[in-house]
Amino acid sequence: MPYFLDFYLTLHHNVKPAIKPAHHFIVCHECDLVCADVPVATGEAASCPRCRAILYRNGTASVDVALALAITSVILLLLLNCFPLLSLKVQQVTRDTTLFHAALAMWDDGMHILSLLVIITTMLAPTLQISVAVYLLYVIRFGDAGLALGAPLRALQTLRPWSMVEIFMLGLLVSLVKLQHMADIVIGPALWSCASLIFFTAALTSVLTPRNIWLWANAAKASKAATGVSHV
Amino acid sequence: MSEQEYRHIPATGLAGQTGASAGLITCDICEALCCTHDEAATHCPICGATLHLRHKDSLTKSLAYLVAATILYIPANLLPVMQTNTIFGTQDDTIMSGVLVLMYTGSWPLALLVFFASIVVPLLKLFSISLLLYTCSKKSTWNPLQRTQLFRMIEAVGRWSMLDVYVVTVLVALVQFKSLAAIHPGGGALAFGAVVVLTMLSAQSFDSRLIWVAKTHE
Repeated sequence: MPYFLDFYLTLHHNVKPAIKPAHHFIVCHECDLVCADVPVATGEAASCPRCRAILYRNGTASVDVALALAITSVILLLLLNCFPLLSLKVQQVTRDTTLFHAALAMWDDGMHILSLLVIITTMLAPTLQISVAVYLLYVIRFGDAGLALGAPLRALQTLRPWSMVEIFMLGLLVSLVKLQHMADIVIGPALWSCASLIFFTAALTSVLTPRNIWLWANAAKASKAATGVSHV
Repeated sequence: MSEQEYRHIPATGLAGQTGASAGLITCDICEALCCTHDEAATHCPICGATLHLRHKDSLTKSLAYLVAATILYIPANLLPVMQTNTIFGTQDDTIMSGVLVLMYTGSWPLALLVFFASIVVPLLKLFSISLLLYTCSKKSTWNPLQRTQLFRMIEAVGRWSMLDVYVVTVLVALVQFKSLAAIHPGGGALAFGAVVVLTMLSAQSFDSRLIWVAKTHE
């Protein structure tokens, strides 16, 4: 994940001190070695001494930043789905396509499974992923933080590898090059929102790690118990 | 950030132990630390996911997906992924011929990218997962660090093979000008999509902790 984005966000926001984890140990998720769970400086990450897996990064990004990124992603996702991606003009005939119509064209050509695969990876998974992220961050920030853990957290982690907007964007660029000899191309609004969406979802993914989520949720629960007001 | 800048942290007290021997499990889903001393603790206290010391039947499942992917890899490369009908005739494109067309029409960096995503990555995944499954079933002690890094790499780049499926989708949707020019998807695209999904599932079912099993039992 684009680490520089996380780093940039931590630099440019008034960040509260890192929240202390509950245990002194962490078990490497890749090689099962027991490691010490120690605080690391801003911009640093702790890695497993045996297999070099990154165990965690400095958890200083705030819930507010993550929520802002998630809401921006929702808007961009709506734009991506509502407007045409590309238009093609061949001898006075113009043809444009939205994301959904591209998948439907596959269905009409008899490729039902492939059409479903495209719908799941470019529409269903990203939409679910971003809406779950908004719900999860909303309840941590304004509601009962306990609701964020459990099913929403599990869904987020399961959906993550199947959301492929960034790969679709690259596919669009390759098709653009393949089509440029064939006809006049007009780039639609959805292509621009797709391009910006991949930056925002990448930033969101790098901030919305499971470790951050349960640290935020624990802190929200603790401050709510202490003051009666939920603030992270 | 380079590898050197990460702080390597030694564990105190439980130094050198594995989670399995210390009675600790990392939750597969939320990466939280869980205790196995309690017999009733089969679910993560944080996210409620089922806890596994190792993924259940990891090698068998991974192998099953891998075999299916390897079989489908053949039609994925031999069958056309798309068919172009123009007034000049009909042309079938396979994955490889798509790369060649892209190279000859002048955009070799893009051709290289598609070649990498559609040809190199799937082959690399099939070979690497086979290697990992073989060495882990033998409990080999050969280069566990490099094998873990190999696994990390194939998990990261594996999804990018979907590129060709999306290119075909966009072209099919746009190029529909009746008799003038029309593009239709071919069976190769379906097989190729299946290879990508199956190799992703194969990598997901593989438990990288098994790479280190032999080493810790010595």
